Amino acid sequence: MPPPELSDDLVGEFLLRLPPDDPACLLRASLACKRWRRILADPAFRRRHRELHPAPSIVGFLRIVKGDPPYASRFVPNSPASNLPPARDLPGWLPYDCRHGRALFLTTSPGPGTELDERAALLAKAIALAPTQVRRPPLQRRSALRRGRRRLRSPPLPRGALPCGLRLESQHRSLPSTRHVCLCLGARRLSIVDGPPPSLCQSFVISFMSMGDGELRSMDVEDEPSLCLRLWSREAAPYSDGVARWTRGRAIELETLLPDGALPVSRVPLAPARRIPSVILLGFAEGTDVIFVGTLPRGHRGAVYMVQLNAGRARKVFDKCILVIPYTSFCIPVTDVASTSEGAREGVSSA
Amino acid sequence: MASAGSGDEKAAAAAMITLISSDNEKFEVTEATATLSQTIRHMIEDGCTDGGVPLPNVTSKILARVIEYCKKHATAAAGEEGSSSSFSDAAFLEVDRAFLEELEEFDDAFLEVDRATLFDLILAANYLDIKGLLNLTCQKVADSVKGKTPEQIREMYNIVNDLTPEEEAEIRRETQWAFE
Repeated sequence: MPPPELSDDLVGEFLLRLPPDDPACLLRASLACKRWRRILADPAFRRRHRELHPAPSIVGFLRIVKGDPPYASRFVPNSPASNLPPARDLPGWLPYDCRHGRALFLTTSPGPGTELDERAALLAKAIALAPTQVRRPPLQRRSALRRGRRRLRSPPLPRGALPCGLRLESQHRSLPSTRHVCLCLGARRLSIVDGPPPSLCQSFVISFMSMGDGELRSMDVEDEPSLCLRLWSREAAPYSDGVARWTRGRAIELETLLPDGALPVSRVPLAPARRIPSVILLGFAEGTDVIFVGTLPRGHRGAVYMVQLNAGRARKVFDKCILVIPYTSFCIPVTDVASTSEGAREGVSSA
Repeated sequence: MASAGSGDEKAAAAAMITLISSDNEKFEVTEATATLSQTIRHMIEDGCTDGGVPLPNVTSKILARVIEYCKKHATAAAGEEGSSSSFSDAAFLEVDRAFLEELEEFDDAFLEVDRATLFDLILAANYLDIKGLLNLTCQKVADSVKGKTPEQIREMYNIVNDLTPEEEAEIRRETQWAFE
């Protein structure tokens, strides 16, 4: 006897329970029929899937294999047991960021005329992330975007999934380095936000991160009196004038967090200007409490550790200090033209 | 209602509700069992259960299974309430653990049904608004889809593939890693 017909809501109800840590099964299910694909590609489904699985799993990383032109990046699955291929190289592509199942790549070195808001717009129009959806490297970014938009009718970025920071500020000459650009995708506007006060050890600051509670956070490395990670959060509430300020949050001791031998045995105190950080922050996974810390002991290649802030756990993910960009999901682009019309394309272009 | 004292609880347990399936079969259940369904709970609260509760969307075969689930889980809910009010020493925890294990075994056995019945149970759980049962049955379907190829999924759930060969080929090429 054939099973009775279920409504879209009920089909969505069981598809929601597909495990988020194995995105391949969502993609396979999306190929069962147009209806299932439509349900899976629906932004409302994606939103509910995130709600039901609030702590996104880190599916994999984009790591930089070669940081100078011509760039090269590589997909590396987080779990060896996952169905993802062990490594997929992207010659000529430099990853910038990964959010909501999309990755932003730079495919040539940034030209002198690249404007900040143009770059910010790139994030909103970024290329859908799925390892083999990335086609042959285009000659320049604009053509990559056009091709991306034409070929992949990606769903619009989810609304209200914010705040979302950009790590583009340091490259831009016209902005002071302590200021950050905040792209609010929900409100679709750009705003300038002051960064937290610089700490003693000005390493590669993670400009903005959201740990899933919607609050803007930042992180830095401090080395006095001991080497630690310092969490900052931007709060409007405690102040009567309603203006948001950065509040110094808790510190996480790196000596206890990282395994023995990860940090240099003795640190020679140096003048701040000459100080070479032995620990740098590399990135974080959107909506999680996971950050990536690189260690640079002198004379070694260093390592990259994946740190779960709340659990206070660290795991080594790479034997070399390199930039890694984690991703937590894939997006399922809608293929059915009739069901998407132009909405998906136009909906994201107003940044 | 759930937090009522033990005297009220006994009274609630004694109250019987008649459920009437789409094929007119009558099932007598306790109120504690019936109120696992939010739909029926609301009807009881509105006082419109005299003369039985007609459930035109649920066949007797499926209703019998749903009641079987509710009976077991109503006992479980009552058990939990009892143990949470007493101090939790090792003996109580042991009893709880054994009970939870038993409940898990019951759920596993309960889900040993064909796919048509499983879908009927989803429909009934949704209509009767029984969250635990909806979760259980949907998880079962999700588990069965996990690790399957699109062809296997279509065969399992009688799905007609309406993607054009070109669309299917393109998606497969783009996301080949998911099909290896």
